[in-house]
Amino acid sequence: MHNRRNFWLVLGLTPLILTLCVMMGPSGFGLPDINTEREIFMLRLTRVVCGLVIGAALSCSGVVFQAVLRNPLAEPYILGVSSGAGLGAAIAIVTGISALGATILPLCAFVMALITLAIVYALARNGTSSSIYGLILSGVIVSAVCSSLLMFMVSVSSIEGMHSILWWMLGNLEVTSYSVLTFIGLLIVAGCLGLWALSRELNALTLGHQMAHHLGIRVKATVVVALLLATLIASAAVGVAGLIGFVGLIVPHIMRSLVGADHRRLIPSAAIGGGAFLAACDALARTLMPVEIPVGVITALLGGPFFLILLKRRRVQNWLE
Amino acid sequence: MTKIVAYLLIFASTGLLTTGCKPTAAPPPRSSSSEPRVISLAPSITEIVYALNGTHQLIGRSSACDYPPEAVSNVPVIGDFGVPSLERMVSLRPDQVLYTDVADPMMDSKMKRVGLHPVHIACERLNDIPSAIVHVGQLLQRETEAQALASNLVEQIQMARQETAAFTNRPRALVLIWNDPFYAAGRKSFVSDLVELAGGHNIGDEINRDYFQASSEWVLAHDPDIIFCFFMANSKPVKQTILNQPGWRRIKAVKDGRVYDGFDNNVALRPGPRVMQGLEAIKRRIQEH
Repeated sequence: MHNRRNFWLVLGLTPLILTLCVMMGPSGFGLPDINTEREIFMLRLTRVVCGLVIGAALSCSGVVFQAVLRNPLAEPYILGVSSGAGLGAAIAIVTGISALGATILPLCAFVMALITLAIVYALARNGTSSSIYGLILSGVIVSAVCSSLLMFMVSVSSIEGMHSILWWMLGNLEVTSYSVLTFIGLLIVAGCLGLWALSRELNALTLGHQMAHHLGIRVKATVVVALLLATLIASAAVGVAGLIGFVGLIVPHIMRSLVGADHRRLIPSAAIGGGAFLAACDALARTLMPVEIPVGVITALLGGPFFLILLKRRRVQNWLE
Repeated sequence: MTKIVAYLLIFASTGLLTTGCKPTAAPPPRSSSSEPRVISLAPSITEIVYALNGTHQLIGRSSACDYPPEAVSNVPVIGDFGVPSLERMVSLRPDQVLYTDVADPMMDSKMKRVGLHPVHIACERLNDIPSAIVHVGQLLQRETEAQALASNLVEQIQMARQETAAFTNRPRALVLIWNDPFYAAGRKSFVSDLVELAGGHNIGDEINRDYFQASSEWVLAHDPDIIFCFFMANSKPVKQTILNQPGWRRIKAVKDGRVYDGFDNNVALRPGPRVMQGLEAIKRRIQEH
């Protein structure tokens, strides 16, 4: 019953939070006048929409990774997507092609993330099938290789190039063009819906792969499809916004403790709640200090303690019952 | 019951959307004169604007734009160097945004998308400065001042060049801009131009980069006659940092006591209108012996 109430609470609070986000900005608190301050209104609105989409992607992806791998520390970047995307961005910055057009940097990051995923998957394939451990292992290795290449790119780049790479790695929700946001947004919405459709299978998988098999779930196919979808939306998110940490790890846990572990409810509330969470963090990031703080700093600072409080409360409750 | 609460929340938030309220910071009124108003994202551009007597046309600056303090401290800050806030810039309604370098490679197109008019001012090397002054002067509609300042600067650079052109025995100088790790100025740096013009030879010129990480071995192998330190030591005196490096005591510059610190980095490393001051500071040390 609590779970149901919390589910509606998340759905209800989200529009309120998003409205507040649009009202917050470095040039003053309040809703910008559409007639005279159209640019400011659009700037804030696109950032809120971007936060919503990216937050949804990272949270949903985190939920799926934690369910499939049955590991509370699993997160969307585990298969090396972040290092791959970082390498793509660094290549675009160092070679200078990122300055040619607004879509090039996100595109390079996204494509490199997909290439990394393909390599990880190919390495993990053993004959015809791939095991979860093989996937994680090859993910860690490919990620390490990408990180070293990224370090190499940083070491040979000019001071300005280093500045740009660092700026990208810290994450940023300012979108370059509406077409990029639309494309990535549609991709992420489709991915999240796809994962939602797998809810029943994911529920069964959390009981253990053998149990799921006995419940009539095609375990291998489900695992592969779920992980691929989750990584795909995470790659899209990283391509647009850079590396924003903690959302994919913390939001799934927070939502699980709020609405329960049933993925039919967990996935939509993680998408909506995670989106609202990231949009709110971004609103704080651009207003707290005279100079904008990287949004990843806020997600970690806010998400960490909130998560600990929830964890503690639940443990106390469990003891009392 | 819970559903009703949820619906109420949604209703309340949509109500907020439609009523709206004014942002607290009202946009500054347009000046009555037709002089263009600009935002500067780089300290060197801000110094050029000041040198052209155009500070009243400057309506925004980066946090790094610190000179001259009395003239720019009242100008609103729109972000750190290289990372401006789009919203702050839009709310100031400038005619143009002048920048040299920004962290986000897509910042130019982002600025254009929100209706700003970004102008890239090339101002990285010594020879860029006069043309950058003329460019900024055109944008500020201060062509006469700009022409005068630029040609004066060109003349001074020309004189300095003639003075040192005949130097045959140029002291070999190492320019360090950071101490942990040691970062040295390479061929593509502004300070390399200054060392050359002051009659020295920058040993970092063999590296085709702006700045690069210099290993102790590289420094020892090149045995510079002079070491310029443009970094701020954290606790110890700068020279002490150099002397404490294992093996550096046998470098010629250290033996001869020609390790120099205490520069105004903003003058010597910033390609702006105060370039001749920076040049003088370096020249004095090079010609000391």
